Amino acid sequence: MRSTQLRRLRRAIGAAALVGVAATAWLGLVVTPPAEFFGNLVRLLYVHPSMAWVAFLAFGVTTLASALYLWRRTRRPAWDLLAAASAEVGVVFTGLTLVTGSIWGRPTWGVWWTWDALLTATAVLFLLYLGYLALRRVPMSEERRGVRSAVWALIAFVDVPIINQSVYWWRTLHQRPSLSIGPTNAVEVHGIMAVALAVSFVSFTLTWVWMVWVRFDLARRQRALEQLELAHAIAERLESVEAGS
Amino acid sequence: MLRVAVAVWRKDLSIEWRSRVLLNQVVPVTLVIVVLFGFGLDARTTLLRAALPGLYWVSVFFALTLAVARAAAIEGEANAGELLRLLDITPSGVYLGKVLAVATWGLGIEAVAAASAAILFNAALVDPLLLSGVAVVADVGVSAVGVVLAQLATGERASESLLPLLTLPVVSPVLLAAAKAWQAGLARTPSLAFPWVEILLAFSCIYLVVGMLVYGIVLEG
Repeated sequence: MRSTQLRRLRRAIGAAALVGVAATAWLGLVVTPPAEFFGNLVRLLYVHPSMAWVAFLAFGVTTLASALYLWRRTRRPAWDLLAAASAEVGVVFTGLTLVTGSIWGRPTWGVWWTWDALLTATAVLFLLYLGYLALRRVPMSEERRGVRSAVWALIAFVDVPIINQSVYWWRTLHQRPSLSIGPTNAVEVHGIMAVALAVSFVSFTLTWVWMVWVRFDLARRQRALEQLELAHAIAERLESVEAGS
Repeated sequence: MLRVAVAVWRKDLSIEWRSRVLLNQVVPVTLVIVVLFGFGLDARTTLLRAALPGLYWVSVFFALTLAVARAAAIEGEANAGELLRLLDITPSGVYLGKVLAVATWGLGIEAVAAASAAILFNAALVDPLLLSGVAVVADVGVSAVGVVLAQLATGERASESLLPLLTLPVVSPVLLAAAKAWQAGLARTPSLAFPWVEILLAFSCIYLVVGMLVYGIVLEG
């Protein structure tokens, strides 16, 4: 695919994400009715689970790209850049998940924060990936940075299944998933509410794709620029050495 | 591998014995942290005794982070780490030796922190066998993670502030389990400590095995 076509595709994804998020807001705030028990508070549920999903997706992609970078046969700088781009977006969405969860917790549990297993594990995940981003800022060679951050990404991902299963392993305050795929196919969200939730999942996923794509492209250009500057510096140095001799 | 581990362990201990950086700096810092907790909680001994397990493990964690940074700095001096790599010594042996060295220093730090907390918080350290057993396992768990992460965070700048940020989220299960086991021990209900001791043992073993597997990759990187 040519670069102009790719740019158009990226723009289309960006536009679809924007429309999707706007539709989520309209469905969640205007069209859907308040819930029987939670009242208007239920409207937070149209964004909170989809944000958490995107955070897990982002960290999953970071882990996969990191593993591909660590394996010598598939080692390409692009995997490292993709891992970093996805982690940055994942940190944003984990932060949003914690904030929306906190807003939900205040009226339902009476506190902004509680040391519940799921919440604590999510906060630890947030810190783990903040550490990943901080590690990437330490000045070192490109390959060393790639290897070290890839190792860290693999260590950090261990927390994701713990979060995912914490509502089953421990008696947490957090409710179990409203939509589940499994032997029971339990669905507790129906009608227009399920539509709003589905639109939210799709639009936030598209937002993630667009953000990672833009960030990856920027990182790729930044890398090309750095290599160009390095080549110029070497050439200038060689010229001055030759002129001196 | 074990011979390499013992050699690295002896090397790190003899360097520390000569330089005495941990004795002159890290041990006093541990005391300062314990005293600061006393100031922070307005020297209310009832409150300090109730919070002792948490305060103790936070103090030990920060002191151990300094010890781990010191172990990494030893290899950084005169590019000793690079030489070890060039000599083609098995990385898991080097890793085990470094973990043993940090854990040995850690035992000293834990003893000083426990003694100062017991005296300053006016607390009786009942069930010393359980408390010391937990301390040893947690010490190994934190050291196992710390040695890998210190190597990861080694760079030209900013590694001092980076190490606690990387270490704390990873060792949080160890610290939580150790604090809970101490809480049960101090409350004279040792049976409640056993599930936490199991978690502590599981995490410490996992960290040690993962550390042995990835240390070579980190060294090369």
